[in-house]
Order: sequence, then C-alpha cells, then structure tokens
Amino acid sequence: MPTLQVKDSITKAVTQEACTNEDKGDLFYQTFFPTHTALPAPAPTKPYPTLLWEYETVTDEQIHQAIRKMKPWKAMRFGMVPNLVFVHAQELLIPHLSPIFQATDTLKVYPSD
Amino acid sequence: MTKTLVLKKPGKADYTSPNAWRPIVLSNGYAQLLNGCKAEDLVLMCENTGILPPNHFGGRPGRATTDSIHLMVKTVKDAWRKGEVALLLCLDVKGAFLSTAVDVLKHEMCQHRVPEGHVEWLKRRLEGRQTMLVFDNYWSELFDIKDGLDQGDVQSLIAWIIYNLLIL
Repeated sequence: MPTLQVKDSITKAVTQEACTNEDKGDLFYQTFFPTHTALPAPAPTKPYPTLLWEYETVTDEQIHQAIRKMKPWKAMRFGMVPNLVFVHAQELLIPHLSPIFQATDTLKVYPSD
Repeated sequence: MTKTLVLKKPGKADYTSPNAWRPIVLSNGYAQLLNGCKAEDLVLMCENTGILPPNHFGGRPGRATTDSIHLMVKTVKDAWRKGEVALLLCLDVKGAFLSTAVDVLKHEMCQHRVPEGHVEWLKRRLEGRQTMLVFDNYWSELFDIKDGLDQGDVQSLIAWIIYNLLIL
C-alpha cells in the first residue's frame, strides 16, 4: 500500500500524509468511520404514535426464505459456516436455529462475536 | 468483534487517496441469516403498511434501477411535451450507511410507528460493535464503532430508507 495523502479539494495541496501502518490505520479510521455530524434525535415531547403492526419473532418460514436469498458461494469470515451449508442442510439446521434466533427476542440479547 | 479488511476499489487512478480503498467486513453466517430474517419481516410490513415513499426504488422488492430510469425519462418527456424545461439534480451521499446516526434512526422508526420489537432489536444489534482494520499484514488496534450502519448488511438498506423518510 502506497503512502496515503489527503489533498485539499480545491487547491490540491497535500494536507495530511500517512507513511507508517499506524498512521494509515488512523487515516482509514477517519475515512471509513466519519465523526457523527447529525444533530441528536429530538427528545419526544409526546408519546410515539400507535404501532402499525404487531411485532412477531422469527419463524421457520422466514429462515427458509432468508436462506433462499443467500448467495451460496459468498466469502465468509475464517471459521464461519459457509452459506452453501445453510442452503443444502436447511431442513436439518432450522429446527435448531429457530429457538436460538427466537431467544434474541425473548432474552433481549444480541450475541457478541 | 469484526475484522475490517481494507481493499482497493478497482480502476482508480490514484491509490494514495484513502477514498480509493474500501472497508470490507466478512460475514458471520449465523448473524447474516438472522439479520436477513429481521430485514425481510421489516421490509414486508413497511411495504404492506405503505410507510415507504413511492419514489424510492433501492432495496425494495419488485423495484429495480430500471424502474427509476423509466420514471425519470417519463417525467422529463412529460415536461418537454408541455414545453417546459427539465432540470436534473443528482446527489451522491458520501458514506451513507457509515454516517447514519443510530439514535435518529430509532426516533424515526418510532415516529413512523414501527413496532418497538424491531427498534429494540436493531438497537441491541448496533451497540457495542468493535472492529480492527487489516491491511498489508498489519492489524490495527481494536476500536469501537460508535455509530452508523454496517456496509453490506441486508438490514442497512431498509434502515437507511426509514432514516430518510422525512426527506424522500
């Protein structure tokens, strides 16, 4: 990876340069994860309006449908189950996956990696 | 915790610019499947209840880029037929997903009457994220992702549409 440079959009003069990996990492961090510029959400002054529909947890049919939409040859993170396994073994996996997925709602947790 | 790989955007003239590189996070299959189920349900119910704007085409079932092109051509030709001048303004939102404010997204979801279950689930999913940047055999230190939606996540598209409902 070459030395990274940030240039002024008008004058094209170099305003920042990153030669070491640490500096490049900092520059990528600034580029990929921009500082929050949006105004904070306004505090609700009255209760939110009534819901449009009833929330339901994940069903087996939804998992089947999500698997049908998966790209089977997509690259996965090292050590993870490839999409192809879900596509070809869905009948075996879904009875086990369904209670785990539903537990993210009943226990109100989203498991960390 | 995820690893964010930094890859070249193909066909760029100048790779000294950090914008010529893109962050890629490889998926966790289980999480991707669960997120896909939640996104599917949210999209379907948003379509059924009619809260999405009619002139938005991205990330919606039954709609494609070609539909938006047809609409644009029709609008231009309709204006010409009336002897009017058509003017087209194109805008590109920089880092759209990554710069999404999650607290504003939650507020917009509640304001548009999306069930609390979806709002709370998305909140749990987006909090406490950490990643490290990986390039040239270098691994950066782990850092917190304080805001934004995940690039390439199936749920980001519908979340982004809801986030922008007021301006679309």
